[in-house]
Amino acid sequence: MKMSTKKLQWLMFGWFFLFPFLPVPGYWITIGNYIGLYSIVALGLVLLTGIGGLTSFGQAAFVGLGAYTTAYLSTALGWSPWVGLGAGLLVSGLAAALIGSVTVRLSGHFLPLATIAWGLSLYYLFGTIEFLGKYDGLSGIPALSLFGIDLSSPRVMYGVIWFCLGGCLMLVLNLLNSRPGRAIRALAKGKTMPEAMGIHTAQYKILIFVLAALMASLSGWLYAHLQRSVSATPFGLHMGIEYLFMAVVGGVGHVWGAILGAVVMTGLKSQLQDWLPLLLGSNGNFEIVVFGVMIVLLLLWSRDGLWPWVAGVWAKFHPPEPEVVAPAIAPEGYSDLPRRTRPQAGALILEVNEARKQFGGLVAVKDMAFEIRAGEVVGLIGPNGAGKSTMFNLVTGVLPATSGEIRFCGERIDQLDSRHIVRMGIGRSFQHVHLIPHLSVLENVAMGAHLRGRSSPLAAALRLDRHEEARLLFLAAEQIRRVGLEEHMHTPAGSLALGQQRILEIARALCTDPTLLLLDEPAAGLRLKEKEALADLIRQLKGEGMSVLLVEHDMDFVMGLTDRLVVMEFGSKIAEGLPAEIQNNEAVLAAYLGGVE
Amino acid sequence: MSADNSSKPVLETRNLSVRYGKVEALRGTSISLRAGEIVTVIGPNGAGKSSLLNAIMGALPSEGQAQGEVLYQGQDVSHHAIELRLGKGLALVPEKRELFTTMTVEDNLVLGAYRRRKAGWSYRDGLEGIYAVFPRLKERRHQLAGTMSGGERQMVAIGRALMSDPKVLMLDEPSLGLAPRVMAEVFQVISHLRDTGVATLLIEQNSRAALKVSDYGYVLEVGDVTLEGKASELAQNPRVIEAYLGAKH
Amino acid sequence: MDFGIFAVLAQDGVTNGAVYALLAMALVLVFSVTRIIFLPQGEFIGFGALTVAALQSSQFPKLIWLLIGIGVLTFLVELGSALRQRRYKPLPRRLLMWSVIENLIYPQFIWLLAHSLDWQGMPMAVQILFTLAITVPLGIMIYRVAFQPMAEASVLVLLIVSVGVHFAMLGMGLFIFGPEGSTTHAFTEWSTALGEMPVSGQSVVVMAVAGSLIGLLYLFFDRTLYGKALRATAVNRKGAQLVGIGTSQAGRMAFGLAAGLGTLAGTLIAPLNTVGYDTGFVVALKGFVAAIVGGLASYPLAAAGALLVGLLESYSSYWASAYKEVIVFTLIIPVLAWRSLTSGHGDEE
Repeated sequence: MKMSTKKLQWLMFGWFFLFPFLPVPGYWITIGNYIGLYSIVALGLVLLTGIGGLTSFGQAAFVGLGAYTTAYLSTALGWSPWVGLGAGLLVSGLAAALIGSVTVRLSGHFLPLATIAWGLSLYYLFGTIEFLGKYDGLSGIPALSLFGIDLSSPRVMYGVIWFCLGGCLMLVLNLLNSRPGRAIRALAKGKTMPEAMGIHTAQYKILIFVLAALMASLSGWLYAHLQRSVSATPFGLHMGIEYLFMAVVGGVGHVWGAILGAVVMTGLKSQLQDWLPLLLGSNGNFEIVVFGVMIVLLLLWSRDGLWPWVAGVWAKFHPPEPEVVAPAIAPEGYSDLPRRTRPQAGALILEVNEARKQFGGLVAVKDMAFEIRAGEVVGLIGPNGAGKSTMFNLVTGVLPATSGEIRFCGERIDQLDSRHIVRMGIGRSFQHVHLIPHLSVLENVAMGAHLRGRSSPLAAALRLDRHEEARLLFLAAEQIRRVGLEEHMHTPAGSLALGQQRILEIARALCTDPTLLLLDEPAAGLRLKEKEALADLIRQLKGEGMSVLLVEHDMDFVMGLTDRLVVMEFGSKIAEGLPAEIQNNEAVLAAYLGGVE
Repeated sequence: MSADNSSKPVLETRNLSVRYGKVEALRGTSISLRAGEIVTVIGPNGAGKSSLLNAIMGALPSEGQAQGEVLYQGQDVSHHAIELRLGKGLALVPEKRELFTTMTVEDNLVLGAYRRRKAGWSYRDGLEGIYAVFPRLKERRHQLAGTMSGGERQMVAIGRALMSDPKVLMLDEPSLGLAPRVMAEVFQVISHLRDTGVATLLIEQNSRAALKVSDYGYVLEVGDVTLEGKASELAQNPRVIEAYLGAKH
Repeated sequence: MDFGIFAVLAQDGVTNGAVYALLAMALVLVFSVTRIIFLPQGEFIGFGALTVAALQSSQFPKLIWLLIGIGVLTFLVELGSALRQRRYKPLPRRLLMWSVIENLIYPQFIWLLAHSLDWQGMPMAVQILFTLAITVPLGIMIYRVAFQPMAEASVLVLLIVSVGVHFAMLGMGLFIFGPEGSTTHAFTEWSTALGEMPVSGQSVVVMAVAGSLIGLLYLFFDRTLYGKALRATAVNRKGAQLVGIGTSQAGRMAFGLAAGLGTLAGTLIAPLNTVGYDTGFVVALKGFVAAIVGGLASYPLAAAGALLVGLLESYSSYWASAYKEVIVFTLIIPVLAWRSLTSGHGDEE
């Protein structure tokens, strides 16, 4: 599944670096320059769209912001292009932060529609503002120079562009392979899972939005000083769409797909622009027909783009190795990782007091009350539709309670969201597993360690987080060994059996250092052997002093496992007691076996 | 329907499997039911019960893949679209009801007959038939389906399925979330349908009530039929009692 | 600004708003039924207007070539999928026969009609009907070829496909119609005055046509079985499948309707504006802004949004005409901010 294609990647990149030293015609250098410029933008889109799950058609507008800022500053004010670079990044970054804070919270399809709208609106703005030269744009932009060395020749600019691209690539790769990077990868899975790991999803979404805009802006700055003039047209919506197409063609989930996509689209475009007018006998940008048809066909055939296919062929000759490996022995400082103090066995940790949840007229949870003491394994059972899941969501903060109180270790949590609840020491698993299937078990489990580290995205991109990263990976590996999945440490999570995926989720929850573990229907869909393995694990955790709340439908599974059972029906508690008592409780039997007599 | 249909199964699955990507939900399940018979499938959550019904109807979600045969009156329909299976006489009342909540009860019912276009039949007759079975729906026919209570919604869902004039009605957890009194009413309707020659395939977690109205039963565990037999015998089977009652009774 | 100008601007705004409302209705319809964000709507506006213009100037409506071409493609797609199914069941002969009639014979029949009649002399209503006879099947065929094979894909994948189709159609539009725009004849020369405000017949016709189309749509959704089936698909896709409303059938209906509404919107604006092959896109996007006001789900809110867009556009063209488009498209940001504040936290999976 996972292909380590490092060699292929650097071969590809190295070739592009050698390229200008070959005696190739100037036209090829021009194409190479455009590929580099487009790749930088597409790379931002891979981060934003492929990895973070936010689709944008508006990147061309950020390219425009970068280009126009430096163009204006260097022509009208005569400032150095290097000031223009900083100013362009600042303007684009601020604009992205502003637009992002309004739009990234929107669900799925509204965001791309919004990007179309503001992409157009910025384009019209470039074309109307007096001091930006209206639709004629600005010309006479100075060439770049560094320490008095003139960088104006296309071959030299080629070096500058590809140096910038190389830098961006390295930063992005570093970032993705770190604690903040795992948080970004978790975003594509929706909101519930990352938030339950303590990841502030909205902040990370704005972060990648700004990062993508900064890369676009950098590309715009290079463009302005390469072209020496700017006008509105290359920053319009159609270019924004073409950027997205590049990322999709190359493989929107793959960093290296950005370059591949830019190569394919740019090469194709230059060929089509030569041939199509001859073929059709009239002038115009007919290549968009080919692009459009190509995208439709590509999405029909393979939604992952070309890169996985190329990498797959390569992997046949160069078998992959795991990219993320945990240190073999405890790294320095591992024992200093903060750990929560365990409550004394028998101390009250969770109190649910008259908790109620109403959806409109429907009361899903009706004044529930129960408690959990440290070291206990408690089962919350009941027939389907009894309100167990809603109760679970109230405790984990996925839903706020309508009324009543829920306290954890004495503090009220009923109005807190899941990000804050996990911070207090409640770890959880999901009924429908929430994993990133193409990442290894280790990387998935390490997502749970998000709150155990603090390195910033910048530190991660600059590789200043390696000590902490080693500690977090070791922590994750320890939890994997704890639950008995060490054989599968580097297996892609998606290829595990369901039972193992459930256990993986428990390991991930253990990374958050919980004092209470909440498991949502962990036995559903498992085979007998898998159920036994799961039960053994829960017993082992109990032996280590963990408190567990088990929400289950399957009575059989909870009977031998729990200290106490709470039974729900129609949103209310109908019984509570030792498993043996519950087994013979008339009300419970009626609820499970049918009250129709 | 000719008389010999009572001996031949009207619906049969042979080696029916369902998988969602790598997860196998149903493994080579074979069940059958005859006209006018009520058959129940019981089993724990995640055993593949809903997948069984959805595979018979051809209504699996897009990531689900079915293999094996679904025979309707001896003909393999396993590659037919839902519309065709519906036209032949299969109908499914799904676990989540899937009503058109912002439309009226009557519109919901009328749409149930969307594929039923025969000369001389008007949906008015169909509606009268449904209202005869569920008089409460007639009173509320202009109300939006989304504003109805749980029991009434289940009636709308069953009524909508019956509007297509099915020979085999499949019900996925019809008692889910219903109060006992309402549940009793639903089961009454199910046993009443038997008299009209409709075969019913029932999935229930409420095993006792379901086995009581049924003729035959299957126990499905993790994708496999582990036990089958006459409903009355199944209800007395110690394994069933232990697994689904949680105690020896 | 005196009342006279205010009123004239309002009249302009409402007239344009009525056209945007038609487009917004079609976009809401297509999205709620198929989850497709129908960006190629804009091409139907342009193609429709240019086809009417061609008929009026006694030129052959070249859009028919596209119809014939896509018809052949559609037939091949249907033949291919029938052949692939042959492993399991006999070739669906009747289905293929229909496919031949719809996708191969019908376009030729239209071609014949275009050649054999004098379209220039016909009343405008007939010219528009003939244009619809070209564009509506075109919309259905595009759904069949590009969208139906991946009807189950995510909204985002469908959106990218939609953008791809928009690109392809736009390029073909340039090839078919060339870069020049055209206008069509006025609906009427009649005009009157309401007190101080001059009322143009053109505006009255646009508003009346748009209004009655919206009324007809309402009747269609409220009274007919097909209309109810479309609504049902929008409310609950799985429920609709279970009563036998196939996803693809509903999708074709929605695309046919949307193509028709787009064409009509194009013919409504063509007498007053020069319409080129690419004019429609920006017009359709204004319909989108309106549809987004309604959350892509509510018809009345979308119509209200359309009026808002129309009025905003008309007043901003008076005060800051250069920034007209900027203002209209920036409107979406406060609208979305408002939506994201009111919609609460949903998980987008």
